[in-house]
Amino acid sequence: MGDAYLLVSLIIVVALVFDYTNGFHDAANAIATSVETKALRPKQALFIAAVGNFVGAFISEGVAKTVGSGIIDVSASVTGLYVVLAGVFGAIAWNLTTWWFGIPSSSSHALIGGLVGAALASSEIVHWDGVIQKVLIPMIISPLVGFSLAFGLTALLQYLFRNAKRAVVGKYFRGAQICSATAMSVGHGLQDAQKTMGVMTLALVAGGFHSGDSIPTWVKISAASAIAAGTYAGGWRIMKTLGKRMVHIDQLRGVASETVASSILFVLAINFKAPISTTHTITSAIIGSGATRGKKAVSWSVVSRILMAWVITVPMAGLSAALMVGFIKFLGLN
Amino acid sequence: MGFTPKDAVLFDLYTSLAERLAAAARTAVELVAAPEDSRRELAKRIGNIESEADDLLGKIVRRIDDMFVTPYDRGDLQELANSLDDAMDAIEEATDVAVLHRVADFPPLATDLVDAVRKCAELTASSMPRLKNLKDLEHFYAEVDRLEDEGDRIHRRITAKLYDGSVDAMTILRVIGTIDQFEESLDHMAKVARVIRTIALKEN
Repeated sequence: MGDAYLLVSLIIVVALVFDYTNGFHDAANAIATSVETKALRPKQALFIAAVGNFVGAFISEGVAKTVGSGIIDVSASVTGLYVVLAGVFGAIAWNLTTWWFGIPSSSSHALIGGLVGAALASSEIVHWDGVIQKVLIPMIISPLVGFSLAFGLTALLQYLFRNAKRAVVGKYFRGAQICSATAMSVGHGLQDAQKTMGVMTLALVAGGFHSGDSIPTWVKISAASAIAAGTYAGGWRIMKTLGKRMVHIDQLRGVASETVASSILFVLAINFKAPISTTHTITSAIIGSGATRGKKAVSWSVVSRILMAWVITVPMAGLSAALMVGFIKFLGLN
Repeated sequence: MGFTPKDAVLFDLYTSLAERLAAAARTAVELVAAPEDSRRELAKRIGNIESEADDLLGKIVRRIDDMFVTPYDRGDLQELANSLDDAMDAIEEATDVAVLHRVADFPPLATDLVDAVRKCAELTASSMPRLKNLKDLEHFYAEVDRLEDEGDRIHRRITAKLYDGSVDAMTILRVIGTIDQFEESLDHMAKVARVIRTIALKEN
């Protein structure tokens, strides 16, 4: 029991750190455009993003349940705990490797890949239908849909407002952008905080501290707090580098891409309970929105990074987690 | 390709502005070749063209400011208009200074310099309609670059000649203001080409 207690605590701490860094990294996704177009001041934007993250984490349990019980089943034993531990550490190891070598990646994909890889290596149950229907298909479809819808919405808005006066519609778009940025922050919390909740729940189940697929309230609060704190802390750093960004986005494209991306995050989390990459979703929407200008406006290097992350991340994070399982077995810990 | 609406009026304004620049440059060629007593009239004509250009610049700036959906990056469009206006101002200053300083004779190479300015301005004017589609501009970039280089070289040779000891200080001071401004106008036209190139890089 002492072992289990220690392992569960370790997994929870690591999962919360993972969550915090997620907020730290991705704070810019939601608020960069609204700060850039001066719809919001940096301080306001950060506050909205952190609160949005926190609130979003409570909206639904779908993604948390998918990660917590829809992808792998772990036995309530020390072995089960080591599977979760190997999964999380496998994902982190792969994230660090990609970061070190500059290979594109996605934390969300890495986490799923890690859990599946660890489960396979220790012959725990993998719900393949869940992996395919709730992870692989949404993962591939969400950027494509993000690109297409953002392209369509941008072209439509540009047509509708082609003769509009900036002095007249500018302030409405500023308001719209505050709404769409808030929606993005909520969607970010909804998606990414819940991935952490899923992992924490998985650990609690394996440790015998929890049963069933419900998410304990304290798990929700701590995951929501960790991502919100990460966003608030990371946002400041991003604000400083914002001025150096190469690509500028105008109000219309900001609203169009954030509306599309947040809708996708919401629909997939609430209706399909599917964990998807928030970064890929907003990035593909921004690219789709920019593509209305023409082919050259598309950053093909970013497109290829996303494609690479699709192909590589899940299997490599899985492999990395499987190696962790092997290492744990080698040490005779399980 | 491209689903961003392109405002025809805005593009026409840019072409008109570039055409004023070419008209001013042609008049500047005449002015350099003209005898001193007929320069005042030509300088006045350039002054008038310059104030028409100012009106056009004002219209462009207001239009960009008004539009919610701009065909290209708002800042790039603004910079393009400003660079065209800067080139115009330099030509106007060059010719006005020539009259005010009562330059008697220009050095022979000044004809070549002002001719480079004219070629560059005419090329800019004839290329400006292509701002709308951003196609077939490679020759324009290369030629503006070449003319700017040529202008630099001529300018250096003129100053070298002026400073070789055979010309008295007063004459140097009178001439140099005009020569410098012609060279400056070429720099601004090179900036025009660079801004268009930046727009083309970002767009289709």
